[in-house]
Amino acid sequence: MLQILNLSKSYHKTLAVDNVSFTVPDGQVGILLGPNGAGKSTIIKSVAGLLRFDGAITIQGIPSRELAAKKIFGYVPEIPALFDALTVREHIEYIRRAYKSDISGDEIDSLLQRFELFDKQDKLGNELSKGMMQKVSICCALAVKPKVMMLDEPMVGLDPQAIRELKEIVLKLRREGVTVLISTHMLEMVNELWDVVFIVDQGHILASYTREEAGDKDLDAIFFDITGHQKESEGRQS
Amino acid sequence: MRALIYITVRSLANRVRSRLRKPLTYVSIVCILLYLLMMFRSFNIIFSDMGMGGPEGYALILSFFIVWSIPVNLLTYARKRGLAFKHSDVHLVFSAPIDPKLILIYAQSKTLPVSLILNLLVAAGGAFWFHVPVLKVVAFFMVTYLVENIVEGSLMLLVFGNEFLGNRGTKVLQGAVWACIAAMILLLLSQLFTQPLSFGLIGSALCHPLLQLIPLIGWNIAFVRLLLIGPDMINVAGSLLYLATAVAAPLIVWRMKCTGQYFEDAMTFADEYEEALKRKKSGSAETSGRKKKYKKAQIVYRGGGARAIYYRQLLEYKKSRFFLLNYMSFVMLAISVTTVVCIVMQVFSFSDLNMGEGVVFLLPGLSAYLSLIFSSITPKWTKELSNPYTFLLPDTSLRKLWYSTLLEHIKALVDGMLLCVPIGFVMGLSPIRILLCVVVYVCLQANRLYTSMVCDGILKPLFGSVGLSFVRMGIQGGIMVLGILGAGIGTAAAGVEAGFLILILIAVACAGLMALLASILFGRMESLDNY
Repeated sequence: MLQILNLSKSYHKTLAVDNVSFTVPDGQVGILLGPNGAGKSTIIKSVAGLLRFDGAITIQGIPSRELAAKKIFGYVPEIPALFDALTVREHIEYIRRAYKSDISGDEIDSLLQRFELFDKQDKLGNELSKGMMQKVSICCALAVKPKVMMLDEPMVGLDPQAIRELKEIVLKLRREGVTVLISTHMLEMVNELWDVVFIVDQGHILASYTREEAGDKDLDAIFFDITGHQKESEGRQS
Repeated sequence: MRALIYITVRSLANRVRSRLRKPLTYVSIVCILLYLLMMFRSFNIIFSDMGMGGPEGYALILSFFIVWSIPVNLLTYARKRGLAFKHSDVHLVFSAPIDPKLILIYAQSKTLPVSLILNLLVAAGGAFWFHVPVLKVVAFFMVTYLVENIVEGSLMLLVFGNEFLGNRGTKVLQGAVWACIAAMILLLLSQLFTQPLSFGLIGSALCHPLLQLIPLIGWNIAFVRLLLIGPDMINVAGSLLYLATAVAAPLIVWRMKCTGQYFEDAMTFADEYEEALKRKKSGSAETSGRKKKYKKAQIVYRGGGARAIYYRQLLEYKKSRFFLLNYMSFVMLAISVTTVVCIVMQVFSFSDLNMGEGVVFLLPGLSAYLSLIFSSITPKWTKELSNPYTFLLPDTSLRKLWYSTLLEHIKALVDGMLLCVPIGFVMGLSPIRILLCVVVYVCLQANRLYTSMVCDGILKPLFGSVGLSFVRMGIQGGIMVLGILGAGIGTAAAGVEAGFLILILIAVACAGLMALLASILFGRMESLDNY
């Protein structure tokens, strides 16, 4: 379970996230939606432990900054950055050691094969295209064997085959009880994945829906219902 | 920790393996060894001539490095900077279950191989130049390398990783470092007023007993003096305090709470560092990596096609703080002012050179020298070739090249005036000759610009980065030799003005030829890969 309680974050005098709270229960896929500058990245970076923040973030009940929480947390950032002088395989090996993951050599092989990286496993980080770097980044997060996984715009730069694999993996993780939080603008890509959606704007959660509450509506309709309605009310006020 | 060691070892092994595959590595190693050999021989003579060829001189040189490096390092750490974090560290190390203190040690350890090599060279220098017994130098190197790294590492962890000091505490710490620097300056000034002005003044300030009592900086000097020269009351006291720091600081660090609050600052620094690396790689002199602030400005575009590039650049310059002036302008101004002051103060005189009319060519000679030493710096226009829109503009390659570089020529005119007018004036040159000197400067800069373009865009795949620097200097040198020959013949045949005109004609012809070659780059989008 990923729990965020009263999260606030300011950059100097600008309040980027204001008292945000939400929970993604075990074995569910949460989607973080919002226009550019809504505060999604700040929330994501706070969860990943990269920012100072007020409030509390827990991963399986453990404060996110603690090493025990980090050990069960997989993170795929929006822009992947790999070590220049480490090969694809060595990146996974580093993750295996850092997280003390019990991932086996065969499991690493199969992960690399799924993302068509097996024949590129000896390539260095600085020899990879952006799409391939994104695939390695996803493989690294999966090599952790996480209980909670967070993906920031994971589909960007991926080819259709990799997108299909990623979707299958997310569904598999859900079946295995892993909590997944995805931040994305590519709504049609996550339509069949989500269990709960959080719509963020101007540093606040405007609304949240479970799939049951949404009924037949798809994410696109939910998003424009909420943000469109918001704009109308702002227009009326002005 | 095992994971961080794994990254370090594998990265190093992969880097070494890929370097060893390149023949240029072996050439570079031979060049560096020859250079070091030359340095070792020449420094031996210099230090002996200066009367510093003993342990006392060695201690002085090391004290100078301590005084210079420790305050800079401490101030950098206090500003939460100075550690080489990269985006890959932010992505794969910060979010990993690794103790944030270990991550700081890992970041600092990236500098250890270079510092080890430097320390080994300094140790070897101690034996060769300062005639310190080899065994003593080895012991000295091992003790100081260990203790200094423990102290610096602990202080870095305390300053960078502390979560109890807060902003106010950090400012107090910065103030303390500044106080130590102020104390050192006061000491130097007091020596300045009590002793005759000479090189020995720095020496007496660096071994002053009071300096050895300044926290950290002075204690480190005392420690070095104790090991190299032998005990006295001051250096024993300073050394004890230094060793106490080496024991106490790691203990404090061990108990200090550090949950990784510094990640946010380190992330910002990683952005700046990566940006700086990118600029350094592209040859830009602006390596601070910080985002620039721009003023508001407007421009009226006149004409279309490639001319739009010129007006867009002009708009960018109008938004810049100093308009057309940049660091090169200030370098030119500094050289110009220094030369003028030296001539006015009669530090040197051109009449002493006995060059007759030829003295007028000293200014073009200076311009040529400056364009040669700054030849590897990439000017601002290069970003046009990294912009896909440049290739899509409906205009000819030659016009695109001209309008991309037109402002560079205007800038060269401004810089040339800053360099030549003041110096020409105090040299007593006529306005025509000063103008000719400025035109020569502009032509030489045009050659530098187009030669760089041809080298970076066309010849780079053939020679690699290091080889390219030599090729670039070779081409520019060749053009200069042609110009000098032409100027010599012209002056001998019809006077100085004719010499200048032939020099300018040769430089313009060469620049034109290079520009014609370089214009190819604006016609093919593959050029994007080189910029």
